[in-house]
Amino acid sequence: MQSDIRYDLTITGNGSSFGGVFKNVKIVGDAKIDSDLDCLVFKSTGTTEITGNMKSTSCHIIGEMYLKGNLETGEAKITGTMDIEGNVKTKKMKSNGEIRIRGGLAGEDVNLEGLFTIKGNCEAENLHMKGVFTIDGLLNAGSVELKTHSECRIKEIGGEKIDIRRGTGSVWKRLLGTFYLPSDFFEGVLHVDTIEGDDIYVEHTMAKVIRGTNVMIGPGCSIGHVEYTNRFQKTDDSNIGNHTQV
Amino acid sequence: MEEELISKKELLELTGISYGQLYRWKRKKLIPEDWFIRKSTFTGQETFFRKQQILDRINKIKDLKDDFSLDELAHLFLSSNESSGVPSLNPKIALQKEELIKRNIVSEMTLNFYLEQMGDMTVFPFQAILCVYLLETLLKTGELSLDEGKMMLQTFAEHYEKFEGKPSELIVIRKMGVSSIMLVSSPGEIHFDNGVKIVVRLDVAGCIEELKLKLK
Repeated sequence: MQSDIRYDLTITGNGSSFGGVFKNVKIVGDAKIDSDLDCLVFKSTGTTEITGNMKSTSCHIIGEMYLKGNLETGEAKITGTMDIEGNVKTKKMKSNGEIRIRGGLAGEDVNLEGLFTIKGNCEAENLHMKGVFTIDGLLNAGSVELKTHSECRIKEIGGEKIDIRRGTGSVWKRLLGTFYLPSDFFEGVLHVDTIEGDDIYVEHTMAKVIRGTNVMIGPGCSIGHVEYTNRFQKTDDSNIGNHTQV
Repeated sequence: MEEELISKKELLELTGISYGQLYRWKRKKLIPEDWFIRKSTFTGQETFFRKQQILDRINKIKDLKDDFSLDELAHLFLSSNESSGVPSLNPKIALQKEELIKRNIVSEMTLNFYLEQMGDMTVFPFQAILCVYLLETLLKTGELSLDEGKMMLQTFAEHYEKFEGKPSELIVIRKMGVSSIMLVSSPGEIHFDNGVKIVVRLDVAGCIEELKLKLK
């Protein structure tokens, strides 16, 4: 594929492609792409399976997507399920749904809502996450905002501004939730080994160590050790092993 | 050779930077991932660094961050992050000899001396730029006499290519007034007898980084 001209690829219904370099890729239905895909705009509604790497400037997925390789995209919008074996690199990412990444995630603005598992590290300038998540590596972001539901697990968090709260829902959502959400959905708890940052606020968090400049501990926490350099505050109903100013 | 390690906490205390800054620099790839050494201690897992390496890097970032954006710095360090700590000689850069003086890389005197020794040339490839730059540094500090400079140029011209892509040091020693110049690959230990005085020990990789900054 040595031509400079990019053509469009459209798959409607059931189809497959060998992959390659395209301008716009539009998939409606069920598609299988057998190698790497390089395109400008990727739009998929339905189920897409790609056995290679994918590169695009924008990527919009409604439905299901399975990717064997790495994903590199400028903008990503995902509604549905995404399963990636490799790493994800993106500028802006927005997702409602379920994401599983076997590698790491690196982005600038990352906005995730729903269910995720990330095996590697997660890096972003601004990160908002809401839902149920597991990150096996290091979460490193300029500003981290987490809203936890059910049981969330992160190995390590590091950043400048870290804000961890329990996710809430409207009364209506809560009422509806009793039918199809797990019973502990609105009792979000975060399990984490260490949190290190400049300004830290946590609630409903179980951590071994928290280190930071300004540390504020909200309700429902159980923390082994807190180290702070400037300011430390805690509410009465949190459990803290010991705290030291360094 | 066992290198001295420093824990993350000690590092922050020593350099006065915050966790946030450290993580930001890591995110911007100013500090490569594999410099973070994880070790288990009795308080759980902790992160350590090679002391000299990380301190050098952090001081450099602190010095330069007002003049360059973090992305530019990352680009600068990138070449040294990837290989075993040596910025590669950038073959794309070549300068006219007038440019060298205009950009304040060498003084006219050093340049003339170089041209006398190595023959006249109008365009300097990167290796030659590096060579005059090293010469300038050494002459300016007064550590090297002109005769020794001559020796250095010869050593450099003959042998530097063998060190390309490998960390190396330029060492000048003197014993009983007789000097010799050597290029050695680093990190390595060298021991001399008592009469030897080490005049200069220059880390060539560091010089390449400085030079690249000047060339921007």
